[in-house]
Amino acid sequence: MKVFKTCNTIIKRRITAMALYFLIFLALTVIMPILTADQHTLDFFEMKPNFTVINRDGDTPLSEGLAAYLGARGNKVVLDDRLETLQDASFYRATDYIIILPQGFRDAFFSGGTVKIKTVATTDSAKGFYVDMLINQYLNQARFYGSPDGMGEEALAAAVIRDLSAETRVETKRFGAGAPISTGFLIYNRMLSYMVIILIILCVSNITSAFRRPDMRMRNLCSPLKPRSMSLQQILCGVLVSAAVWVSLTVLGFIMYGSELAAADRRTVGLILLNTLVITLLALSVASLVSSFIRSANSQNAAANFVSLGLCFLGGVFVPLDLFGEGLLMASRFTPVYWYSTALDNIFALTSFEWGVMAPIWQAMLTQLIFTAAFFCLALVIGKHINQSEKSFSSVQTELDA
Amino acid sequence: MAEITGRGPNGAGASPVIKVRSLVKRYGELVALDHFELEVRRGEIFGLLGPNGSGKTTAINCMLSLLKYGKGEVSLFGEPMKSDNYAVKKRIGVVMQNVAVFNELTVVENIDYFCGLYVPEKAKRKALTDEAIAFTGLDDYRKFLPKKLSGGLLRRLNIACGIAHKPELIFLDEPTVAVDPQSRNHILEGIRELNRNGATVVYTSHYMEEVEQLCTRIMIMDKGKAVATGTKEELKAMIRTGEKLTAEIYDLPENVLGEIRGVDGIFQADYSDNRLTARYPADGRHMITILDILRRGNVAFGRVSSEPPTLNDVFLEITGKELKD
Repeated sequence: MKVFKTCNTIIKRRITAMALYFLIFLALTVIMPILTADQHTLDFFEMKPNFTVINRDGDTPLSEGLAAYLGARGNKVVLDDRLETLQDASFYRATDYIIILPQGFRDAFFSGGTVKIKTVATTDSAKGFYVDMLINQYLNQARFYGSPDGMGEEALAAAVIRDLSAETRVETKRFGAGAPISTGFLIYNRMLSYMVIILIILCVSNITSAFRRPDMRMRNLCSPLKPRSMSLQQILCGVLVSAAVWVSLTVLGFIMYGSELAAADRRTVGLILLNTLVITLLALSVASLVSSFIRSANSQNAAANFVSLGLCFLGGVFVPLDLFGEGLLMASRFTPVYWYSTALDNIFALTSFEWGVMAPIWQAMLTQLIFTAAFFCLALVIGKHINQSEKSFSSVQTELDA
Repeated sequence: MAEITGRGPNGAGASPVIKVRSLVKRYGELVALDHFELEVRRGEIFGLLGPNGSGKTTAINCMLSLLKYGKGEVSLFGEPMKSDNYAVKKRIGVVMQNVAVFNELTVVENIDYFCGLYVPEKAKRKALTDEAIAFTGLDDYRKFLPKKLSGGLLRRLNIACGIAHKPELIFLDEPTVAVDPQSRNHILEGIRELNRNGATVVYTSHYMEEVEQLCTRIMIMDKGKAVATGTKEELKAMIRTGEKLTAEIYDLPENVLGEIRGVDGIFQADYSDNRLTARYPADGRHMITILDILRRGNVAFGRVSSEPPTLNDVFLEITGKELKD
């Protein structure tokens, strides 16, 4: 196992460079959930708009009921019914919404005629839509009762407010046994794919560039060690390194999100781990393929960065797939990391473990494995071609080159 | 140009360790080896001498089965040499023309790695590694990475990696290229030591002085062919030049040069760059004759030297061109 041990030594010598990538990854996985926290928050808080009612119809139970209804859901701002005052208040956002009930409003409403209410809302504000909605709810409910004859206007207004104040009890039920997993862990797992790919490419290319150097290949071929044994020992080292990378990143994830994962459904956690294991295998195949083309130690970092960043960008690791245009999305489907991200998104969005819901996840993982097999085959073909080609020795300076 | 083959006393009658018959190797249109023949006997330091591009490295790569060849046979230790003949490979040590070591490993790790390809037992390997380090004088650099070593030390490391497992047959392909004189002497002395310890050595170089002082038998190669083989004495005996005279002369009249050329036995006399060069058989009288002619012709001359023929003269006479070319 001399070759295997030497491969390990070579990787150990490059551990500093790899540790640097690891630290950058660690920083990103800590910072990114904080930066994106606002976009992903699921907490709800009630918005209370400032509103003003200018009542030119006189005090009627209908208009007073409307003001009371709005007052329960917003902050009432009292203003004089003067144009300048209203303009200033709207401009300086002292009030978000001004509703002007015209003269004859009550009569027109109960007679079934057209009711024209003037409203002024501050621009680019969701509060305006909210108050619009509240007014429509109140008036539609009042119209539902029709004429106040028989029950009286005050009773009608009270009934409308009572109706609209009724609350529906909503009970949230989660599938599975566990607690939800945070968005932070989703981001961690997205970034993990980048880390896995770049680290494994760096490790594998370090090994292959050392052993595939033409002079070194010639020297090794002179030895009594069979080339097959030499290749197998290198592959074994690649597999071991990949396993080490996967275990390290998984353990790190458990350290960072351990409490959440302990409370989460174990089947979901298992699926996430399985998906990361699949991307690790995929990364090993990508690394085998990429390292076939790496000829010098200098090009290793460039190639590793180019391939890992390219695949992860197209795969939706850094930018959510939702933001991709149709063309880019189509292109990304031909990259393996897209299927990793898809599987991950589907796992985080799981509502049950039924076949119909799980099918897209299995399909995405299977697609990754197909990519893995294809890359391995391609790497083997290229490797065999390099081994058999005398041209691979061409960079060794011989007399004929001199 | 005819092939001249001599047979000296060194290793005569010993069994051949390397036997190459009618080897032909082509790179496209270029014929790198043209019916190349070679026989190296046990215990020899066999030198392959030739200018760049003569086919020395190609011959070695074919012998080691690193290159496929179109025609011919190669046998090492009496067995046909194939790329999967691992039993034979185990008995061979190779020092490549290019320094083939891992940049990521230290001196001791590199030697241990290459030794480990031949010797699986750890304790034995450690002893052999230490021995190779001492042999090549790398004791002070055990923990150094190759990039921290000078060119000469790198070459020594390259040699240590090739010989650590104590092979019976060692191929050394231009091991002293770009090496300072001190390291070169160290390397050459090391090769002699290996040979004294029983190793058969095949040594390629385009430095004729090196080959001349080191090798027991020499093959001169040109254009993929062996043009002459033998001990250095045998090779020198193959040519007419027995002695070469050089005289510094400010002005040499044409008639005086003609008179020198007319002397019986002097087969070449040239004058250029204020220097007269004459070649003739080594019989001890031609030098005096030439100096007499110069004196009679009132030609003033400075330093005069006479030397025996070199391998370059052998190469020049056989191929019609300088070995340095």
